[in-house]
Amino acid sequence: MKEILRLGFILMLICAVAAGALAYTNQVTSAIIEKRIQEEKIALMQELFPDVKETEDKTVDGRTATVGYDEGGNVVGILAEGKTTGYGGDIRFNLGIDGEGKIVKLTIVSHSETAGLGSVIAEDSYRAQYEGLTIGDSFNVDRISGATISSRAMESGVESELQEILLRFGEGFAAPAPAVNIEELANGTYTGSGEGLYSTITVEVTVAEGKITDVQVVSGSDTEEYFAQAKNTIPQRIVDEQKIDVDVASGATFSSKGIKDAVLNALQQ
Amino acid sequence: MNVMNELTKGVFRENPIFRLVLGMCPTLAVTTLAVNGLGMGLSTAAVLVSSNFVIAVLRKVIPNKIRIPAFIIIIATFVTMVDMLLNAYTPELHSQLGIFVPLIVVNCIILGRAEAFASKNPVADSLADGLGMGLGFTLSLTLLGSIRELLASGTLFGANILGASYEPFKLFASPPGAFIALGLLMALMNMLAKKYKLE
Amino acid sequence: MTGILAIVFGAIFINNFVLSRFLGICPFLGVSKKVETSVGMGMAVTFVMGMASLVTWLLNEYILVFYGLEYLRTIVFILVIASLVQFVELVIRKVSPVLYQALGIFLPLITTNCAVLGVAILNIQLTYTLFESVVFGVAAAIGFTLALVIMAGIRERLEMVFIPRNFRGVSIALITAGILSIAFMGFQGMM
Repeated sequence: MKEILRLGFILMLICAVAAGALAYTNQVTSAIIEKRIQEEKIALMQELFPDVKETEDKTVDGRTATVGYDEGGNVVGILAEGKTTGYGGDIRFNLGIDGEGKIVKLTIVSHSETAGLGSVIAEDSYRAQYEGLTIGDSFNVDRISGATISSRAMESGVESELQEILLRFGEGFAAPAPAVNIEELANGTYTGSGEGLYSTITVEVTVAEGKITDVQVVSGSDTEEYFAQAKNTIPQRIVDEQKIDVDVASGATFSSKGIKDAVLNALQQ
Repeated sequence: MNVMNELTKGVFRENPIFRLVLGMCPTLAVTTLAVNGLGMGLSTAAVLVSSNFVIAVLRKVIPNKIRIPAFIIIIATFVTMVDMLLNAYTPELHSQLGIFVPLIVVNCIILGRAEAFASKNPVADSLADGLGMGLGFTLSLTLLGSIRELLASGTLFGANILGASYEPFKLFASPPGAFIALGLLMALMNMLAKKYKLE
Repeated sequence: MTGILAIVFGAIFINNFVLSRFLGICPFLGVSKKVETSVGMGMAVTFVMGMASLVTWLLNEYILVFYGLEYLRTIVFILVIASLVQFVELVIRKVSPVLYQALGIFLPLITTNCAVLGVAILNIQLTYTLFESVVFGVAAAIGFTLALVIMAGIRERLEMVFIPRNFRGVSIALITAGILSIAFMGFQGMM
């Protein structure tokens, strides 16, 4: 019995010394590690988004992201991790997204794709193809020959993860260009244009007593069926609501946007 | 003279990889690049020298019955320290070596040297033994890493050696390439050992 | 459910512990000379890896993380695995002498099998849940056993053929493992 106690005591002593030594090393190194990670993060954020003044780590619905703010507190950039299943297992990547929801940078964190084939996803020339893409764009980039599965995994993975990230962290994006103050406009008729789906749409906007009294679509040749729908609803809505950013006509999103852009363009002149 | 002998035996006669065939997991796993092999070798050597030293110092204090758990605690402590230091000062290497840093604990070389040598020999000899074995391990890993890097991408420690016209032999960057490269290198070492009568 | 299936399939075939992750190479080269002993070793490892996954996950979640002692992870895990192996050995000896006869000699070897500590650390790194961890541990061990048994089958045949002198032993075993690893690469992309 005494022998067991003695052995236990010695073993405990060794454990205590070991734990003490580790606690000390941890104290010294964890500060350095923490500082380095923070510095790397801010440096990366500033490289991707030059306007970043402050960063914050946020967690929403089980996902974390680093959000960068400019001086005015607007979101100018998001850095978040995404994941997709490739040929050899999970591919983890980082997405840098700017204040307009566009991909600024795609980096691969880890992957186990076949060396020389699927591993091309980690190369600069491949990743650069995703820069500038946003929701609504086509994510079909140039595929890597001999690695269709890796390519497809990246295309669908980046698109769906971008959506997931924007859904969670997309609020508070930098405000769009200042809206036109309608009340201060001089009386008269303004002409402007905007891009529809297939054509440039031109409008004439009549302003009287600080109010939009009429919007006429002068030209444009989008698909007639949808264009008519947009022409019939959007000008009326703008006059009714006295603002430019009205709801779009369902089924005619691009033509509606074109008309709205044209009105904005007219009044900004 | 004795110390010198302990120092050199790890490099040639009892090279842990090619003669004793110990510590195969990290040898195969991290040698995709020469610099990773070197980093893993030095990390393991650091743990080996430190644990050999402490165990030799304490060899008369630690009772025989609990020596294995005591050795494991000592080794694990040094491994965790190396892990933290790598993470703090060489983060890139730390992420390249990944899980194989904590796994230095179960590297048979370290517990093997503790049990077979450091627990029975004076401090100076144990230090030399650890240094020699560590050096042998480091050299072997760097050699294997260099060969694999050269074949798979035509570079050595990141510097281009074989020129742009070299068609990379990508197999050697992948797991099967690790097995085959080490297998061939082992056969070559067997040949050399016979030639220079190291048997 | 598909998540669990993916873990099982991935651990056994795609990222086989021995042939792709390089965990457990020492017993793979040392033990895999006879099919019979390989099966014994595989069973012992499967048992220990399942248990180790369970115990280390609980310890990590409820003690190490809870008290902010993550830096003691390596030391705690290796001690737990060493004690677990001893404990399993004792229990098996008491409960089933037949099983002890079959597994007994392999048990002490398992402490230094890096697949066991490897799976415990991977469970934490891959942020698996408790259930996923145990499944991953057992599946990884089955993958280990599979590699061991296939290798033993090949080596039994290799015994009977002529091999150049310098290639005998570990050298030819490594090259065989390399070819086996190429074969396992064929499983990639099945998910």
